[in-house]
Amino acid sequence: MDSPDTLVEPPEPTEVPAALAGEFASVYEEHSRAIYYLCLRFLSDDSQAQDATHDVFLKAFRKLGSFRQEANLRTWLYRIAINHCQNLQSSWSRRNIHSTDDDGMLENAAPRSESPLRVLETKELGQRIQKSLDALPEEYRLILLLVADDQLSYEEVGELTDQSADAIRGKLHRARKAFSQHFAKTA
Amino acid sequence: MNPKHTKLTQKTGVESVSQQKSGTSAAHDFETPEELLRFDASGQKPPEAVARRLADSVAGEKPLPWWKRLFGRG
Repeated sequence: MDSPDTLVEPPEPTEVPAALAGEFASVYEEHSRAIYYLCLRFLSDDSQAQDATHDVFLKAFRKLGSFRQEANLRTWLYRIAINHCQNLQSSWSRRNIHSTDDDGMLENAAPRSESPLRVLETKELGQRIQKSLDALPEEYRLILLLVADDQLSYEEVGELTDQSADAIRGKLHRARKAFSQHFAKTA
Repeated sequence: MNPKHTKLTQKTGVESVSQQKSGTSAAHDFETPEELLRFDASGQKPPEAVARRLADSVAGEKPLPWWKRLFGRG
């Protein structure tokens, strides 16, 4: 059986319009996939994730001057994204609005250039992943999504979720177990 | 830290086709949820419309006054 690693093709570079020129264009190109994916799986809604990705990068553009060069840019962007998504969710909860339009989200989630077969695959997998993540407490969902990013250390994940790296290791074990149980139920 | 995890199995559309042709069952196994999420993330990217909207928004930003450029945007 193939190792999962062999299935993961290197991501295609994100297309950046000419208007996004210079240093900020390279920031978007390098980090937009990660930020969009976090927003997508955190918010469970593709159109909200697109809006959130736009808003996160616009905030980043406005605050780029205050970014401390010694800090990790990816971590800084994640912090903006997490705050933004949590504010959105808190606002939705107050209004008691819950989106359940998984089909719309997942149909939009696959790039248009992919074959229908690939879309079908992504849709089925995406639905199962989303259901499993939605069943987790927010903290576990966030830890799994952040740890899945190879560029972040446990220390950085801890920094983003206001806890120690050791606490992350402990909670990650429980988050994995909970996710696996929910994922098995979606089969 | 490397605890034993339940294997996460996903039958893909590609495998369904090969399964029909060969009559065999195939599935991809992921050792951890993170592997599964990485695989999922590799198939997702923000639509180009997001970058275009962002470019428009950035172009519409007012130039900063000299003192903000000098001391940071804050």
